[in-house]
Amino acid sequence: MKKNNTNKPKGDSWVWFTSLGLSTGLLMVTGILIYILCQGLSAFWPKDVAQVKVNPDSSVNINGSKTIAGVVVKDQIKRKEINGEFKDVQELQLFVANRDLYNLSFIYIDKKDIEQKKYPENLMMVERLNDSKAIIIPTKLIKEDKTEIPFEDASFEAEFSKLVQEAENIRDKAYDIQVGPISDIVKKNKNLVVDQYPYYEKLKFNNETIQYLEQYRNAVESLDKISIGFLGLPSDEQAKYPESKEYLKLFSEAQLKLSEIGGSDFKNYQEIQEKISKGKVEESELVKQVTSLQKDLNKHTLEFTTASGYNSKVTIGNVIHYFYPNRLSTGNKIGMFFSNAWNFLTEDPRHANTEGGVFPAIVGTLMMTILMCIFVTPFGVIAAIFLHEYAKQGTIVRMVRIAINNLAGVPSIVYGAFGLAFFVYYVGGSIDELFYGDWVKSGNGAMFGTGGMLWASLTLALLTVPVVIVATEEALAAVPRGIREGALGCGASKWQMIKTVVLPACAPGIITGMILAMARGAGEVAPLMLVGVADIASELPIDSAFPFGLERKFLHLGYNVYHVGFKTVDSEASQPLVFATTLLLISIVALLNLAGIIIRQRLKKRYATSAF
Amino acid sequence: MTDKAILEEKIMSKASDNDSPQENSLINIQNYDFFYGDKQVLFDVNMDIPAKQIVSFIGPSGCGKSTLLRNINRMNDLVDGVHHNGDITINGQSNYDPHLDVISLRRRVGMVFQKSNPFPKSIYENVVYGLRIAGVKNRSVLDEAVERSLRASFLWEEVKDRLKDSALGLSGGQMQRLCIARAIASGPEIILMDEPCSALDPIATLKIEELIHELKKNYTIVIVTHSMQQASRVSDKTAFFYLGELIEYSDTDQLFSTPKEKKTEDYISGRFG
Repeated sequence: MKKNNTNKPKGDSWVWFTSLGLSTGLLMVTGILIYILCQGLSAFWPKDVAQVKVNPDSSVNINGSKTIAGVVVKDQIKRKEINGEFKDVQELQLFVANRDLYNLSFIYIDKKDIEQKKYPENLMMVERLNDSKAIIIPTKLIKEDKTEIPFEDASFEAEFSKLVQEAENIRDKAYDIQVGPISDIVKKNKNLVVDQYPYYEKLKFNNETIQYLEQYRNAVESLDKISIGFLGLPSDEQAKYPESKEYLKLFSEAQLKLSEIGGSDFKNYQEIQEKISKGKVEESELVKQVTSLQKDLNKHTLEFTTASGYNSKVTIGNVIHYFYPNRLSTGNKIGMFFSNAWNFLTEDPRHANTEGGVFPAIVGTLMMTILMCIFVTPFGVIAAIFLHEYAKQGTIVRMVRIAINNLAGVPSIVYGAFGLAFFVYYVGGSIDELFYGDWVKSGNGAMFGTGGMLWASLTLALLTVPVVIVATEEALAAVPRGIREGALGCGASKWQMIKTVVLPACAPGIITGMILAMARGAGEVAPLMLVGVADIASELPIDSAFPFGLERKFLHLGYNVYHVGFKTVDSEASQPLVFATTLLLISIVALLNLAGIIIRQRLKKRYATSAF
Repeated sequence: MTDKAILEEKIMSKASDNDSPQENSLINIQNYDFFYGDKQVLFDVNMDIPAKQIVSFIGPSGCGKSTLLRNINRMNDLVDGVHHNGDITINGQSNYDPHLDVISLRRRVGMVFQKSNPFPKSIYENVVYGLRIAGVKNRSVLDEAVERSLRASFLWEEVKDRLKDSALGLSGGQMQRLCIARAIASGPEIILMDEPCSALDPIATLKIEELIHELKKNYTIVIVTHSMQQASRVSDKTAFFYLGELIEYSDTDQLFSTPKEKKTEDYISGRFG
């Protein structure tokens, strides 16, 4: 074929214009994705630690020391005013860690001030349980029995790693006790207090009983202060505390009076009180076990110095991970990269979320998103069916439709405020009043009358319901008239037609709505701050017994990004973690969407309407 | 549910199809006017459709033949703003009787559409659809109905090994025959066909026509068609409509050979329409 430029239709230049629009959009999206991917993944890559010696004339120092060790984070050009003139200066940003010692995490050094830069192999990077990261030069290991192993000693490495491993086992053991038996007993005691409360209410029928009940409760409280669960101790144990005599006297006096007046109510009250005291004794025994384990953790210490000459020490129990960054081969680094990523995904957060992993946040985000889908999909579909199939099409329906579309544009914080007012305070408060009255009044705090998983997912369901309604309505409209008539012609009622033919045919469209809702809901943070997200959550929002943990506050990846990235003291130091969290959130949303798309594809194959 | 019991009985005793009395007029249309909103599309139609006969409606597009057909099982109820004067009765019972259950009417009057519209389900499920929604669960009744309907629509030999496959894998002609099987599965008296062959090739059309001929033994069939050849091939009686009026209604042979009306003659000789 011959090219003929003169025949080129006019106005084809607009094609370039449209493609420009698309490519700009794609460029921006891929750009931000690649940036987050690089930054997020680099958080797991172990970097070399440089030890820099700075020119004595430079103002840069750490407490007077001109030797600084740290990870080079940025190598940038900055415009600086020097003697009244603006000049471009090449400068390095170093992450120096040891925030507890230096009171800073980053230091900026002009490149020309650097006299010497080397990568000593004895630098050790330590991740600590209760502190930020540390870059140290170990000096010696001091064991429980005061034996010292100097760093230079050949056995140091083996001994140190053995002790760190031991410490981890002990920590695990203590953790198991805390989340297992201790939390069981705490829960049991909470329930006992709730059971006890009605008797307390019943007994308060006149001034005298009120007075003696007060005396009784005060005595129990004071005795608990002497030794937890005092009344549950055997009498020979009790005798060890002479200061308890006075309170015991008050206690027995009140007990005597109350059993005279109170009768069976007091008997029940007393029985439960005994159980509570016994529970407290059990708990304190277990707590003692944990404390002794924790004491074991602090038996051994590592003394160290830093490149800038600080001498300090760290107990072995405080060391979570450690490695020598400058000794790693590429293979080792790859290994560490994966183990770091794994730790990030599976560990609990430490040090106010700025260190450690995000496992609870992953669980929280997934649970919330899935629950939201479970709430929003049926709700949206039912609303769309009524709107499209049953409602008489007219001005009112048109206005409802406009209102639904507008709902999608309401700022999400407004939904948060609504969720707080309606779900948390009104619905939750009413549930608490009706079913958990004793629970709340006996001082356990609100059950459903506070933000939690259930309310958060309901609020987000409300936020995303317009998306599902709109998508479902479109799908309903796309169901061919032919198969509707076919169903009716076979003698189906309208509802039978919708159920057996129309709904299956628009299932892919409904799933599309769900995917869109999920994409919107999973990344939403603002409303969650009001209705259920927590800074630090001790328990996962999952439980085997009613109410299945749904009342609990939870961690959320999106909120984590905000909280760790912008609301912590040292947010710049946790920047890599923020990027990693962002990457994870995007991946989770992408995975959920992918799952949705696969389901939709299957449904499409199954329910494809005929070609006619 | 009585409907269900009747259906089950009907399917299990095939004999019942044959022993309905030979009435002269099964469907009776009297002074029937029909309106879409303000627009009148049928003007004072009067006709009797005898049982166990094939009647075809012919006429140019927009003459109201499909509208009349769709009023026999009240499918036009789905359109907003329709109203009518006059009456249509089936077996003496008015279609507009306030006590009439439209759903059971549609069960007695099956329908086959212009575009074949199998459901996105298996062949088996397509055929038993009408029975399932009537509440029939008995497996042997359903199996029996599937085989009988598919045999009756000449489809059994072609699909008996793939009843569980999607109906959408069939060819156009097979799909239309499946729709006929679906219509006869729940044992109607009357089958309405709205241009059933307009989307099919000549061979498939021929098969459907043979099928229609065969179905005449058991069912009363009303067929709307654009093809005069088809009308003359398949039907016993033919009605010619023009601009909403029934111009001529007589035996097919007579209508095509010696039409009484000038308009009919013009139309069948191709002078207009």
